[in-house]
Formats: sequence, C-alpha cells, structure tokens
Amino acid sequence: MTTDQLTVRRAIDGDERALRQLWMENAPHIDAVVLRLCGDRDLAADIAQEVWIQIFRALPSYRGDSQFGTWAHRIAVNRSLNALRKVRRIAKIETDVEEETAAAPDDPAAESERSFMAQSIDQAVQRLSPGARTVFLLHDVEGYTHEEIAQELGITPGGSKSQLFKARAKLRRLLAHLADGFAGAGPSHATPF
Amino acid sequence: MPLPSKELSEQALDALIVRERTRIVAPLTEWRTLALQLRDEGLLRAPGDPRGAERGARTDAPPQPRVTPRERIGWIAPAARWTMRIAASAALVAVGIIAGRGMTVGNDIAHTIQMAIADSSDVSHVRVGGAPYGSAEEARTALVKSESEYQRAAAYLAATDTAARTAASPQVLQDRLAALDEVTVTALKALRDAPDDPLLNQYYLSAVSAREATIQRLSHSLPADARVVRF
Repeated sequence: MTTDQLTVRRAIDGDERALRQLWMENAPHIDAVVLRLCGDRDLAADIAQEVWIQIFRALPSYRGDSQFGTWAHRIAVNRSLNALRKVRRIAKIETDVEEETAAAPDDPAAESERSFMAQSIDQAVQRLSPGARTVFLLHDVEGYTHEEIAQELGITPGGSKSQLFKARAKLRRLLAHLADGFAGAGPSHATPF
Repeated sequence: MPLPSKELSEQALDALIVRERTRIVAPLTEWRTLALQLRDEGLLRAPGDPRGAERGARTDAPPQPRVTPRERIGWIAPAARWTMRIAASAALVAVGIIAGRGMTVGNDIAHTIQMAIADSSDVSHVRVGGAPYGSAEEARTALVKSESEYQRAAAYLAATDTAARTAASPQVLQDRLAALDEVTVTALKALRDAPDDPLLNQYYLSAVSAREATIQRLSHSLPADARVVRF
C-alpha cells in the first residue's frame, strides 16, 4: 500500500492530520487549476472550498490506481466547471464559438488587442472569451482530449478544435512581444501530463 | 491598420504552456474553514473522539453555517487573529530576509528561519515602558496597518520595480527558487508535527507565494528551451 493510500485510509476515518496533509500537499497545485479556470481570485477561493469538500467526500472512491494528486485534479476540473456553469461564466460555450469569429479590421476590440501586451500567458488567457479560455486550458494545459472536452462542455469535438485554434492564434498575437525572448527556440511541443 | 506581422511561434507558445502547467499558487482555502465544514458533514473526527468518523453522519452539535473564505477573517476568534497577525508579520519579514539575501546555500535557510522564529517568539526584549502606544488595541491597530502597508509596498515593488527585476539573472532566480523549495518542504515537514501552529502556517503560505512569483519571473528570464526543474 502506498503512502498516498495509507494517508487516504486515515483521512477516510476522519483523521484530521491525514486530511490536512492531503490538503496541504496538494492545495498549491489543485488551487492553481481552480484559479486558472476561474480567472477571478475571489470566485476561485469560493470554488476551491467546494472542490476540496468534494474531494474529501469522494475519498472512499479513490482506489490508488493513480497518484492522489492526479485523481484530485480531475475532481477539481469537473467541480470548477460545474461551479462556473452556475455563475453563468461558461453557460453558452457554443454561442461563444459562433461569436468568436475573426474581428473586423476596425473593430475596437481588435485594436485593444493590439495595444495589450500580456506579461505572461496567464494574463493573456484572461483576454480570451470564456469558451475559448476553457477549451484552451482544458486541452493544452490540463491535457484533456477534444472528445473529453466536448463531453464536459456539451459541445462537439469539432467545436472544441475550432475554439482551440482561435484561442492559440489570439494568444500568439497577445504574446507577440515575447517573441524575441524565444528566438532560436527548439522544437518543443506541449504534451499532456 | 494592418495586423502586426509579428507573432509568437507555435513552439514558443508551447514552451509557455509547459511552464504554466507547473505553476502553483498559495492555497486559496484555509484549513480552519475547511475543517469546520468537514466536521459539520461528519467527515472529520471530532477532537478527542478516538473512533473513526461516521461518514455522512451529523454530529450532535448544531449545524454551523458554511463559512466562505471571504468570511474567514470574521470567523477566526479575535485571539487567534491577533496571533496570526503577529505570525504573518514575522513570516513576511523572514521571507523578505530570504528574498533580500538571494540565498544560494540551502543550509542558510533553516538557520534564517530558526533565527526569525526565535526573534519573533522572544518578547523579553520588548520595551513596554515608554512605548508609543497607549493600549494594546492601539498597538494591534498599528500592527495591522503596517502589515497591510508592507503587503501593498511589496506588491507594488513586485509589479513596478523593473530595476530589481532586470537585475535578477536566471541563475539568481533559480537559486532563489531552490531556496524557496527547501523552505516549503521544511515548513511542510514542521506542519505535520504542529499543524495548528500559525507561524509555521504563514511561513508555508508565504514561501509558496514567493515561489510562485519567482517561477513567474523565471519564466520570463529563461530561454524557451530551458526548463524549470525544481517542482
């Protein structure tokens, strides 16, 4: 039995030290996932609490097939998306897909995009529409497949791919000023966990 | 106006994404708040109860309202809040010391933390007579104000002090990250023995926050094909 499993067993019995240990060791990663998906720190703080309660409720279903962090990560993503739906942040993903068409050349939003210089990918991601942001984060950062995203968000895999394409294109523009720092970058492709 | 031709390459974007995956944040929740709800749901054994918790069973105590993180400051008892403020100030100073020194030797960290803890817990040197405060409440108010001011100033410097930002080479940042890694691990180990210690909790949270900020800075200073390996 692994350390994770032993700790989980004690946590299931209501041992505070074990519960707290699981929280302490995994909160920096789990809460980062929640914050990424929410974008807003206050909202993320509320959702993170729900996430952790859900993780602890679900402990008896942890079988030790994967690391505890990986298992909890999945719960964090699902719970965050559910919570965001409730606050209507991603209620109309498919609508976003339709509305996320290329902006007209004289569109004020496009002008604003040109003048905005994100200092990090985190900042740039906040400039994406809720739908594009969610698809990008789930696919490129969290490692979900388009099929899984489609199921999770109630859209088609094609819609997910389309959103991802547009999200990446926009991010490349928003982060264009960082290009100099990446001159000579070797071929490295982002791969899921 | 034509679109700028310059774009970040697909490879460079992928490199940023890889770094983003490893980002961590200071916990958004607080254990006391979580524990309250867990206890209410019967998921956490009541103090002194040797038996295993009955999952899903409610305790005899009347159900307590759910406390959100935003409400947690109001939830913490005044005495605990006072203790935590002292601890937070000490932790901020300690992390400041660590950051300011740009530590490269891991052994220095434990020593600095020990000294900071000793300094913050030893109140024998505090001169009460002639103190500029008329009452304990006045001193508390001043402490809270200065703590808040410290945090604002630190946040401002982090956002605007380009001189310090550019002066930090990738090697310095990597050394700092390694140091903060050790602080985090050390604090975590200590917390296993004393999970309710507010000072240790603040050290841990401050170290995680500082670590996150360092990783962000490092992500801008490293070439795309370099990787942050200490996580």
